[in-house]
Amino acid sequence: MSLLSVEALNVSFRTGRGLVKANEGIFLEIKEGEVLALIGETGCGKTTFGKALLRLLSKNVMIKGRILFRGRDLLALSRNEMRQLRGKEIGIVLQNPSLALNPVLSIGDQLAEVYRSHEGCGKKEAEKKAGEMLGLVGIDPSRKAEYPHQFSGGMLQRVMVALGLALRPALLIADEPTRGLDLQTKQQIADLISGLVKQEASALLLITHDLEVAEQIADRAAVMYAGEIVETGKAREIFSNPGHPYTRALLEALPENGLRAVPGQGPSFVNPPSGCRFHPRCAFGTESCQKIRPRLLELEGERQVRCLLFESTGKPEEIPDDAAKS
Amino acid sequence: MWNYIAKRLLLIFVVIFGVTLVTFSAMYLAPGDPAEVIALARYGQDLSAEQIEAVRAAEGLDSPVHIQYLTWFEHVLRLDFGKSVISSDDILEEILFRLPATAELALASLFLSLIIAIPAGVLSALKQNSLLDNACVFTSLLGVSIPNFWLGLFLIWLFALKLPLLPSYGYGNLENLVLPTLTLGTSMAAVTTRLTRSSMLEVLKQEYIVAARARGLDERSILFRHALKNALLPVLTFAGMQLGYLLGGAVIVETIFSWPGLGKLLVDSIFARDFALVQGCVLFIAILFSLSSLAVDILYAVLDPRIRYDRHD
Repeated sequence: MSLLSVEALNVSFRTGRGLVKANEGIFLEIKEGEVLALIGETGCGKTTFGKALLRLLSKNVMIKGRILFRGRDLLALSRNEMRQLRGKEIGIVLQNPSLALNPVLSIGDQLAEVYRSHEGCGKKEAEKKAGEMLGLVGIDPSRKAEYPHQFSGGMLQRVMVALGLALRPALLIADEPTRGLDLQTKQQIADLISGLVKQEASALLLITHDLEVAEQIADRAAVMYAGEIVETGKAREIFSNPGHPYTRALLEALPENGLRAVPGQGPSFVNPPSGCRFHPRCAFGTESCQKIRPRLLELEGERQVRCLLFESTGKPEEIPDDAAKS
Repeated sequence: MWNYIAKRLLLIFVVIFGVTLVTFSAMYLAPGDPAEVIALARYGQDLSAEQIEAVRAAEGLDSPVHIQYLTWFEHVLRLDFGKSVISSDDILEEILFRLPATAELALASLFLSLIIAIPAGVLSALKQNSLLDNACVFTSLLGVSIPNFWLGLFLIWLFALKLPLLPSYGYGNLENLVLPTLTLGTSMAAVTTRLTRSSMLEVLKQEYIVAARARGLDERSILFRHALKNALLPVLTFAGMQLGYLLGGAVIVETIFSWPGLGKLLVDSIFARDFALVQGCVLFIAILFSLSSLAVDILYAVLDPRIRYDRHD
């Protein structure tokens, strides 16, 4: 059964440069207990999507569409209902823990505060729970009186995970949880998150540009380009047999596949390219790609691809292999 | 921490040496013969050259200027500030006698400025670009632009002359405190409001505020626990510096309202060419200022866990 169902979500910001369309026409589903990886380059709109789900974006934002969580439309909730849901039913681990933790409050205080605010715990009980939660993410509870600046990057990320999962939400959103960490720490954090969501039977929306981590822990994957979903499917299939040319390019940029960077730069969100948004950077682009805006095609095996090459054949194998090499 | 405080106290010693050296030199260079001033005060108008020379020898004013300074400094180290050359009163006693009036005015003005500025600045930031915010910004700009001597005179005109509600000068009753406090407090509040507003706006943009909201905390604890605690740090530093400045005596306001504080004492002693008293006042003000800025730095370390002075020493 679907836990979260996003329907026709449009997120845009009114700015001095014009309307920035950060997310357009997004349909996405997350089932109970499922791990969905949302992947794409930095700046493609992943973080905006994650924050939009919890309505955490700045005041100049316009959100359209529906975000159904257990049947309730989050965009229709009152501010107070939304506040009660945040943390309790959907937890989020924001990017960059050194900025997302309050520098003048101890980590124990920041954690205990969550219990006091949502569960009405007394001081003692909240502190006890905070200590337990720290232990769960692998931090010695005796460090709870310490402040964020006294922790290393990896440890801070553990604190963020503890905060995100403190109330055992049904869905955890983790935004780039492995960013800026060394290889070993990255692995530990990835294992910690996937282990804990399994243990608590939470679903996980993993927002990342790190394909290795996504491949390791995701059940399904969605690829985002220029604010649009360009491909979704089972994670294993997407990584072994990418459909959309952008997904292919992303995988080719991995070190083990030859470190070939995707050519060109991410497009403008104010004046996006005509037709397919990826066409200026696409190795397989045709003339019609510049004119026709592709829709998200349903393929076999829960696969969706937004590409004209699949319109006629409906099979990802139809991309000529010699073209991929040129 | 104790290490740090000891170092700062040593530094204060250096500051005081420098400040008093500068005042001493300035007084020496200023026109007027100190020996004549003292002789005038002692023997009246009809002075003979011999009388002046006698005073010069008796007061050590015939020795070179650096010897004079060092002699004075050595006395100060033994807490002997000397006597006023005009009234012969003990200088330290005189200063300590004036201190309560200055402290009273300083604390009252600081308190008034903070209870205006912090709520106004916070509200202004929370309702950015609203009518309230614009009114706050405009009023504080007005407050910053109006000089104290004008505001003081205006308040006297309004409350002492037009609506005779309050005394225009004097010291001792609560009603005497009102006008000088209003003058100093509101003009300080203007600056502090602007600082609180911009600091609060800066903090509200931080990711940890979004993160606090993402955890479903209520707006009250986000405001008071998460935002205000960070936003008030610069305000605190500023208030501490203002207090140090005020404890040195608000010269203009004390003069306008004939407030018998340190500032007035300093001005009077300068006009009277009472060299020893000027030196004593400057010394005392420098010590007060340095100690209050040290107090702010210590308080800062208590409130902001990121600051631990010893680690960087």
